[in-house]
Amino acid sequence: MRDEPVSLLEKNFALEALQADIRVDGRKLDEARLVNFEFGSQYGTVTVRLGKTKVFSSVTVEVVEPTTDRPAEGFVTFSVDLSPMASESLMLEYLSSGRTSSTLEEAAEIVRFLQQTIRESHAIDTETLCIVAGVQVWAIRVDIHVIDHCGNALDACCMAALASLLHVRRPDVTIVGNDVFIHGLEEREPVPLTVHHLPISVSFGIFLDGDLIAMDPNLQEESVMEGTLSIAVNAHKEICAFRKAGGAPVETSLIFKSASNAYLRATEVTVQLEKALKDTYNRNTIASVKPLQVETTKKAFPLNEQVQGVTAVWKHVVEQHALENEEKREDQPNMTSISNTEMKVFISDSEGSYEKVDELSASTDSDDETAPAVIARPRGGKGRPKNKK
Amino acid sequence: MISKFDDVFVFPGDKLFKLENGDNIRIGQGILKKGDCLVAVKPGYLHKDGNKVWVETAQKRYIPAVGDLVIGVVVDRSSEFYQVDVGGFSTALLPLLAFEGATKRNRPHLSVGSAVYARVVSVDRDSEPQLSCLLPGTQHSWVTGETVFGELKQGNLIHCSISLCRNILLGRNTVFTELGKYIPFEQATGMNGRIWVRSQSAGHVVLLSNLIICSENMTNDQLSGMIRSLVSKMTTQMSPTR
Repeated sequence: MRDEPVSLLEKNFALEALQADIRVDGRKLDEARLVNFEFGSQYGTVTVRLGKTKVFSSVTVEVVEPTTDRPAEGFVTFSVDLSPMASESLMLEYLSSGRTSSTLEEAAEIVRFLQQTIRESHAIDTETLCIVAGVQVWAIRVDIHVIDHCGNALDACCMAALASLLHVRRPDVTIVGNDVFIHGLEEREPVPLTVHHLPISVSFGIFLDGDLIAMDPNLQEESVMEGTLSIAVNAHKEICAFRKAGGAPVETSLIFKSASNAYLRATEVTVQLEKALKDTYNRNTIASVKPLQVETTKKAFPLNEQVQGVTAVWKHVVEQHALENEEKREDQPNMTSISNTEMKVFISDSEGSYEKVDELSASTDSDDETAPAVIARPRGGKGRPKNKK
Repeated sequence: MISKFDDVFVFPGDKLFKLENGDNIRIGQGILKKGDCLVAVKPGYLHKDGNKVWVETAQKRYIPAVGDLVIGVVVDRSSEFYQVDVGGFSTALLPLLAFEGATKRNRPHLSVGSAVYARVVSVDRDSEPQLSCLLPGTQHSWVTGETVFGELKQGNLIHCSISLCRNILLGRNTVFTELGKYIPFEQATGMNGRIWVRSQSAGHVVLLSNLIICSENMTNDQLSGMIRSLVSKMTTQMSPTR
């Protein structure tokens, strides 16, 4: 949509209306716009609408090698694309700065806030994304595209990222001895990610030198606001991230008040998100959801040189952390043996290898895979694959 | 070939009708003359008013035409012109002196961001369209603030579709007459998809703006019912405070 330059009288009117305790679109000061989640036919794709703001998000799951300093942790990365099509003010910013989409300041700020709310608050624990420590972990990438920027893109992006992380499935994995089986999607039900809690971001606009705070500002209000206050809260009343941009001073009492407003809004959105998720599963049972294409191209991992180094690190990590139970210590010789022999990964898409998998008694985490649990419970052992054999 | 005119949906390439010798027809947007035939070039409803024929599309981009009344936003000023955004392919030019009774010494000063109600006086495909705030036949000077055209102050600007504006101007959409029964207000409708409203309080303007936007997809009967119920609700809510 081509949006027009905001005229002075619109700006003045936005302030005038706010002072009269009403918003330009008829809302109250502490009222947010309607939110709508629309899940796509592929795992992890969702379109979130916040009023007229529209955001699309998709998730890619990949098997990668972990870093040497954190061999037992997977990756969760976010990328936000504020395309010049989303609004004309963005287009003008592109033209004047000559930047590319993801380097735009606003996009970078959103990415940073997403990392705070979702990764650093352990909504997704990176340790649960480990397949074999030091060898392979899951890398999860959330790509967010702002399609229509009509104010408060940050909240919309946050909700979209969370919704698509809840919707996405990764292929099931079995580890037998030195072999890692990544099961095809037809063969085994793909597993949802472990999402511990749902931090919902709620933004406020700061107006009139910090005297007035209004929830979920739209584009007309954003043109006159002096700063924003974003609070990410989950249903347990925990503040997961807090961000105040812009220089306007705000009184502490106002911040506390908006924090409790944010909590009310977050519970509302959480209920709606869970309902939307349930609806998609009812309408579109898991099997009929078109599976996400997962890149499992690496047949055998080039382990020889690298893994020996990694094993050393792994030993170091084991010593340092003094793992809780014996079970893991038993893993350790297992790890060294992996480094000596070539580790094979079977991607069992074909019928032939399927039989072999059936005989396996060991499985990592297939306990509650069938239940479309919205919030999967954290499993013991920090999600590290256990060898029950 | 089409015999009936109103509410016929045409597609690009549809032959509309043959031109006879001596036909006097003015063609509007979405129609081209090809040989001795009129052909639609846009999808939409065919409309005829007198000898004017055009195709009504749901487009948002405004194409300036001579005689249109528009609401523009000043984006820049030079020594002789204001550059005004009217939502068209390029900004329009409004001469500094094109105001009723303006002289070099005594003329209105618009700042960047001001909204002006003006009329399109010339359109050429190779140059920027020209606007004017002059209305021949009036005596009011811009100083009195009683001119039809000129800067719009206070109130709110609504962005809507061009078809809504056209329907309002043609009298097909009766939102303003319905609203006028209950709330006193001023309005200016631009052909470029912008409507300016001013009323006694911010609450009234918010109500007006939202009702006008809602009116696009409603019949006039639905509209009058909705306005009646909303206004009664609003007045009961607002009366204790004022």
